[in-house]
Amino acid sequence: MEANDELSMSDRFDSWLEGELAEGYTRFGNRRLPAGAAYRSSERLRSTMLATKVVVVFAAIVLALVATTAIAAAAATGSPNPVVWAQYMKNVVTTCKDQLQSGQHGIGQCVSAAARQKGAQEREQHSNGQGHSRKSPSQSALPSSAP
Amino acid sequence: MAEQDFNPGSLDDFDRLYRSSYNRVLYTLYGILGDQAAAEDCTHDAFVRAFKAWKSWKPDAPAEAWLHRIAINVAYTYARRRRLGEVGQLVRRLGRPAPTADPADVAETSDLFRALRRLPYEQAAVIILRHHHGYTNREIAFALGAPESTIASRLAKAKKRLRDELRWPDAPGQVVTRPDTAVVLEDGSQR
Repeated sequence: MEANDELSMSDRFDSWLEGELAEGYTRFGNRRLPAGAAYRSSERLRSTMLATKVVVVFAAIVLALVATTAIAAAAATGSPNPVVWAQYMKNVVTTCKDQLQSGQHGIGQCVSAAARQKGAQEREQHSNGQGHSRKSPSQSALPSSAP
Repeated sequence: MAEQDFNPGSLDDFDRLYRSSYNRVLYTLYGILGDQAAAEDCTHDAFVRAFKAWKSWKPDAPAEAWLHRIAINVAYTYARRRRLGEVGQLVRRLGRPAPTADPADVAETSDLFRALRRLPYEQAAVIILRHHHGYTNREIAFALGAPESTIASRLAKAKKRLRDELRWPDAPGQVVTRPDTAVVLEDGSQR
């Protein structure tokens, strides 16, 4: 009998509890869904951040390449002027092509030999305390022999 | 809880889950935290976290219970931080009178919700999930990350504590009208 009373009291409590909760939440009301869900904006933010990262990394790579090329070209020609570098490379390529014997192909070795030789020359000048000479590109060192 | 089919990682399905569960999750967090603004913030935060983990959701448990698990954790972290903040405030205002609660808040909140707020958050969550959302013990177990047997005893403890706190059956909802307390209005009617 007591167990039955306890059960019925528990049931009554459950039903009172459910009624109170329902009433409380009715007062609280249904909230209108925010137009721009927060997770949507976080997704947009994430893709924007990713795109920005890609652009920054790409820009950094391009800058590094340009800087390396500029330093290498300036070291090889002894001039910071890109016009001088272009002229120097043009001369090297022309000379290397002229040195090719008939039937031979490829001037890569010749060009890199010219760059090495020029680099060594610059280093020697530096160690002698002469600094960069402002020779014209036509006076630049070129390999004495064909590759 | 209405079972729905969702595909993990599907944006459309997550939108559907958001639309169907937003208010239910918000209600749960409001019941636990007793603060509407905090409940809304935590609900948004929970959806952001759930969205990030949506690809890894496994359909072996209901999506809404999974969402509740994330949301309840967010609310718990929030409540812990708030408690720490309150301790700091208490130390700062030692000797000064404590600020009184906003009368509007007191009027809007029922005794039950005030009592729920005083329960440990996992007991309050069990009550709301079972008696408002109609979750089964298995679903509650998943939402709270606890075994089903623990849920059953937690539910019994929570109800006992609520009954004691509200002095049920003499709870506010069980008011017995006595003739000497009736208010007689000017037009002769009684209230």
